[in-house]
Amino acid sequence: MTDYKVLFTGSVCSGKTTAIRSLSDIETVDTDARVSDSAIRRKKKTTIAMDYGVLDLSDSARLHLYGTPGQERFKFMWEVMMSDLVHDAEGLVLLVDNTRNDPFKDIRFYVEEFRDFIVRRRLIIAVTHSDEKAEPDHDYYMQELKAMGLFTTVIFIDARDPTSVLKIVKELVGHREKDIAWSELEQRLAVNSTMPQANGEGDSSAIEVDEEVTLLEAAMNTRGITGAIHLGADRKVLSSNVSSKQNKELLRSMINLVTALEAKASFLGHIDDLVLYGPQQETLSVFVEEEQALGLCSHKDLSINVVKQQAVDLLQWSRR
Amino acid sequence: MTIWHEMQDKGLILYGCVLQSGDVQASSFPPEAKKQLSVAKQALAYIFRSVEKSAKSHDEAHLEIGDCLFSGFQLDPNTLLIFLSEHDTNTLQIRQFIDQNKKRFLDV
Repeated sequence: MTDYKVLFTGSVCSGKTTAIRSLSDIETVDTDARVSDSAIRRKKKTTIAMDYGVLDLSDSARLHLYGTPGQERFKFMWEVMMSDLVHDAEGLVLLVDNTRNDPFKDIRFYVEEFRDFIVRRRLIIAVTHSDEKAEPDHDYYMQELKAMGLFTTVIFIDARDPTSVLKIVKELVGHREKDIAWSELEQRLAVNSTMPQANGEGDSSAIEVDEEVTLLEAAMNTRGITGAIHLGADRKVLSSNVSSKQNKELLRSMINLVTALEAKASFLGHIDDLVLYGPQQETLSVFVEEEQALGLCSHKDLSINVVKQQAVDLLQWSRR
Repeated sequence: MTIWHEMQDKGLILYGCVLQSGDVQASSFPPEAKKQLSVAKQALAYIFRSVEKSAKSHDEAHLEIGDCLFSGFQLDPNTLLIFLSEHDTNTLQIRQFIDQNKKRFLDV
């Protein structure tokens, strides 16, 4: 029996767990826990350690499917998996959520994180959620990846559809395993499909924002974030739970400054964020868009990268 | 070797500048970055004035614009350091360098 391994990675909600469930012949092993950050608006549970499934390709070949947790703060698991469980994997499948503001930012991030792992293996970029947002399309991906110096395969898939996810497997091991009966495999895996039925049944993985969880509640769900203020396009406060009046005023000043800079010094380009630190103070950070702005107070020891990731997520899913 | 070269060699900054009471005392910003420096000066000075008003002791600000990062460090009420770095620069290392070389910056 030849055993192959493949590692799935990608951002939160990119479809890693769903793709592995679509392909697995066994009940997948997952390590879901209640979401404890801003992703709570999109899903209640998330992978914290890993996903695992197995696909019998033929009488003589088997594929082991591993999935990383998406959240950056569980990154230690990526290292554990790369150095141990999947050190002998055939390839890395990077799932890219096409609804993200900048999917190429995700690609750059994951390629950098998995650089050493990719050097000796096949990288496949699998674009998901294109049914919700069709652009960027395949040609655009190829063009941008080429500009980034990445010459790799890009496949558009629907993680809920086993036949669609099988395209990755074909790409990865098809040339080495000539005896696989692909149509039989498709039929066998059809029961794993979670595509919505015509009658509305089925587990749609389309991302829907849970409106019952407010943006502020989602922000406060991240350990280390102590307050948030959300402003509209007119820069009036939509909601706030920043308890310190001084911090609230500072956050508003910072948002006004960024807005003014973008208007008066447009040659600078878009201002991603403004962050204010103090040795004994909470960190204050603001993220400004045309339609809205978000200010966050966070514990001084909380990594600014975590704060940024949360802010980008909160703003993106607030806009939808 | 100037303090700016030292920081550049460590990969901490691209350019730096010392402001005292709003005036440039020393700078490694090239003429082509004059406009950016002017905006950064005004923006960071505004932020630290707002901090003063609120009686808080925030003394470090970072403005991320695309691939660039403008950083401001308030050394004392009259002295402000401004740096331009790559956006993914480790700002903690800049802070550590400043803490270790505070007197040198004040003497520049």
